[in-house]
Amino acid sequence: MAALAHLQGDAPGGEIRREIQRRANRTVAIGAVYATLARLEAKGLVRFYVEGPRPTPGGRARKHAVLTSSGERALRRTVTMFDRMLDGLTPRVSAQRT
Amino acid sequence: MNAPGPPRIARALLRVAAPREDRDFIIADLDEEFAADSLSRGRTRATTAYLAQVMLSIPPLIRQRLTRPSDDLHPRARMLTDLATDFRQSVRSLRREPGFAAFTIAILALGIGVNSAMFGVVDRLLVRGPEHLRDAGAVRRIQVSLRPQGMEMVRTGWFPYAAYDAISDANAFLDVAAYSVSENAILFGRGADARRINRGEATPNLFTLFGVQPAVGRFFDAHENDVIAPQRVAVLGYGLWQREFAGRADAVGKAIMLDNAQYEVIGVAPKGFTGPDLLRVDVWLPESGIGRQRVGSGDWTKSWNSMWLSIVARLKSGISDAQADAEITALHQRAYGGRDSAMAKATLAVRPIHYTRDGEESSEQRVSRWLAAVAIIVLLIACANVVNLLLARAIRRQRELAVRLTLGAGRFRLIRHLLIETMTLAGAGGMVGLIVAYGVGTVMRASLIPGIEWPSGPVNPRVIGLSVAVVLLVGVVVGLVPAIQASAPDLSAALKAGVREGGGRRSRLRAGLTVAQSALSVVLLVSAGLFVISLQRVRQMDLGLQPDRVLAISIQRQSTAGITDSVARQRERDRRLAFYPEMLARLRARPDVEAASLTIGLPFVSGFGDNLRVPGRDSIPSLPGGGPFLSAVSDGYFATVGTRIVRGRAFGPADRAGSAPVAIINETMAETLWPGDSPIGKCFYSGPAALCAEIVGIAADTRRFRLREERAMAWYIPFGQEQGIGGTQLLIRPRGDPAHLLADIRREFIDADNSIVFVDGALLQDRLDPQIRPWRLGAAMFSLMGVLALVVAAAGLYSLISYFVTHRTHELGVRIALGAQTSNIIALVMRGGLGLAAGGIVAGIGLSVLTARWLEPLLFDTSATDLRVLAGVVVVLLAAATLASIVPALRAGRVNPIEAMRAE
Repeated sequence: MAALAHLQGDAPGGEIRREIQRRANRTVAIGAVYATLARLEAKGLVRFYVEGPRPTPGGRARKHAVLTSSGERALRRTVTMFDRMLDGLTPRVSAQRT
Repeated sequence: MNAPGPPRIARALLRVAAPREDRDFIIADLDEEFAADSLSRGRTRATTAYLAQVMLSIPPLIRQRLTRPSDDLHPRARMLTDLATDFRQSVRSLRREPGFAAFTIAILALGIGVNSAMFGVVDRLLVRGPEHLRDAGAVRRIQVSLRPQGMEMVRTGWFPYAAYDAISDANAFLDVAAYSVSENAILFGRGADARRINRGEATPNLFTLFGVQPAVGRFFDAHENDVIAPQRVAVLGYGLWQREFAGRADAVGKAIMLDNAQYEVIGVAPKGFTGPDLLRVDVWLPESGIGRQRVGSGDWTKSWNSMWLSIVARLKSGISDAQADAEITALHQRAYGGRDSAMAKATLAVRPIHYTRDGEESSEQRVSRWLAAVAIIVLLIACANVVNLLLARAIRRQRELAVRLTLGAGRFRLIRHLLIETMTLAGAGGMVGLIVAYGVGTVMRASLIPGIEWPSGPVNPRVIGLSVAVVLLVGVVVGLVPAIQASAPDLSAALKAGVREGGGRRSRLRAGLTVAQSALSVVLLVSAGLFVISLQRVRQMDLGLQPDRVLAISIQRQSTAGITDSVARQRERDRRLAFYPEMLARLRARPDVEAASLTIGLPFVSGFGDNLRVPGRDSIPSLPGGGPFLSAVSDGYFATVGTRIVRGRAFGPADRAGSAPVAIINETMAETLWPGDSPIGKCFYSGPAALCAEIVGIAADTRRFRLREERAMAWYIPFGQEQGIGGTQLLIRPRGDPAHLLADIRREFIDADNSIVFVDGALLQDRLDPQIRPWRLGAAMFSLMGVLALVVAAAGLYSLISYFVTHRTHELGVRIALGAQTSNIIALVMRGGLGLAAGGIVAGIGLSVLTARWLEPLLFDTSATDLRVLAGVVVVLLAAATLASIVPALRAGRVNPIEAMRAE
């Protein structure tokens, strides 16, 4: 969800995967991304729409994930909770976060 | 042109795993990335990344699909997920009964493992034929059949070059090639590092007939095999190339020393290439070079006397074996230029390529065919046992299955579930079985069938393929009956009652399976006993000499052809002749040598047929064993080899070159030529000798070439008095370790005489061992499998009796309550167990007698219905059955009637 938020809350699965890979610096399976998005959709945190093929050679239809308003709220809440949990931890852990 | 896309199989996997709504998008995403990666990082890295993505994506996608309603699943995927669920449940339920699972897996592993190992052997010996042979079905060996006067029909596959020449243009064949492979036949290298290696010699078209390509370089051609001026070129065997040249391609063009002559390496044969035989070949040489040496002077291609070649041919399509036989027989008879009347009338025939050089099936092949059948019996026993265990388990689980059925599980689904369970067991058994196959295969290769080139390990793709097939088959065969029975229980009875109900039909089936197991074990044990007795008879057989106590040594020297001065050459020859007596004296002085002597002509090594004339006799009768045979032996010979002097005396130091001609004859010769009379003091003319040799002793008959052979006449003359025969062997009867002595002697000889290039030595027994091998193979493998079968059958009987005891606890309780004694109860249970075993024994003995007809030809002087063996097996089986029944019987005797009845 954080990766999706970084992509302005609207991106196809492949881009979300690349975003996570870039930020987390590790390989992420495309299957895992789609499976996770499906779970988030079931919880109403994201929704999907299909973008038609682009008018370029080899252009393909893409399935976009969009962060819903309850998704945004959930992300905000998680971040806040996370911050609160980390607040006051040793400088070493805090330094690693930044 | 389209750029190649991502790996198809990976994409197909993804298609099956991914949910329908995401499938196309996921694939499109990955394809796009693949295209971009291919441009920026290259195709290999793009493919690797693609594969990694697919492999990492499959687990989460499957998990996703398993956790939601299955109605939108692709039918194949739904089946997969159902199977996966069944598999998980099977593993769980088997883990609840670890003892049952471990026992079943162990039994199946033995059954499957032994079969895989045997398949590996049979595949090599009987099925595949030689490696690198294109279209093996059209290739044949040529065999010649002739009946020498007074002898039985002889069939061999040894020909002179002239015979090859005569049939090489036969219309029936596309191509005809001649070859010969000899073990330890040529000296490789020089000096102290020199050693003997296996030599293959062939006409160049052997390689084209096979359709084989060299690993490096090339094979020799017709020009290099010129019959008048053959070239010294060599093609290395793959193994030698790896060992001596570390597999480097620049070995081609190098010079190697073979029998002290320089040869140029022109190529390397591919891995596993042995020509038509299965023996390892270290170096291939053009036939003509060897042929000239073998035949000696004159036009060697026209000689009909020296036979050393085997012939193989590729049939033209549409030509039958019979047509080919007729044509080559006619060609051979027309061309034959020798003086042997039997050979002139000989018939030629084509035989399958996987037969031995003599065009017959080898004893190893026949025994291995039997062993394959035996392995299948072991598997059947294992399966019967597992079926038994599964039936018992199904009864234990009757209630669980009834509950499932009542809750709406379909019968098909239940059967499938139970089958998956047995498949899981069989699969685990198969995996452990591969370890068993590796062990059994390795031991068999090394100790029982040495000398054969194995191109791959005991567990190779073909063996694994067979194991997989056996696992699938076993899974279904073993699981089907119990699954069908278990899936149709009498629901109301099963739900109401405890574990007691089994049903009479089911019990009868289980009892029948137990009887079958015992019967098959009896068959195996009887065969094992027969082979062990055969082996014993072979070992105890009186050969007339003691090959296990005799070390035979021959010396290879540099040729004297290089000495141009004839006087010097003669001096060198005399010096070499004097060397043997010198060495003999030195050897006899050693404390670790009991006796030593010299001989020309030695049983199992070399033999010389010769003529003899007896004053007062017109002709010498010819015996079916051939001969008569001549040997020239020094004093001490009979003591060295352990041959008894029946009458008269052995040769002494005074019997030598130039002394009065004397002879010792064997018993057969004495009985044949002087029946009812003492031959001592009589005389006869030995070979071309002008003086009549006086008979001074009679020696016991000895075998000459084979364990099984007809009697033949033989005589001995003093070493040095021989004419026209050669090839001196030094014989030693060591006191201690022969290997240690041999190493010592080698050094001593090479130090003493610098013309010696190689000292070859081995126990006479080593020459004999290949002949004993089939019985050793049979005894070892039948014993192993017989014991396995016995253990498995006994375990099966134990499990059945235990089950009966548990099953009848209530009844036993009632009996005890009504006054039955413990001994009555024990007797009741024992009767059941021994009754089943007895049934098995009777059926097994019957089967053994029926199969005796086929087994007997493989045995050595042993009847296939040997009463001692049959009686022994009956005792062993009864003992095993008693052991298997006694534990449950004692448990039955301890049943507490109150508890037994309360438990209901």
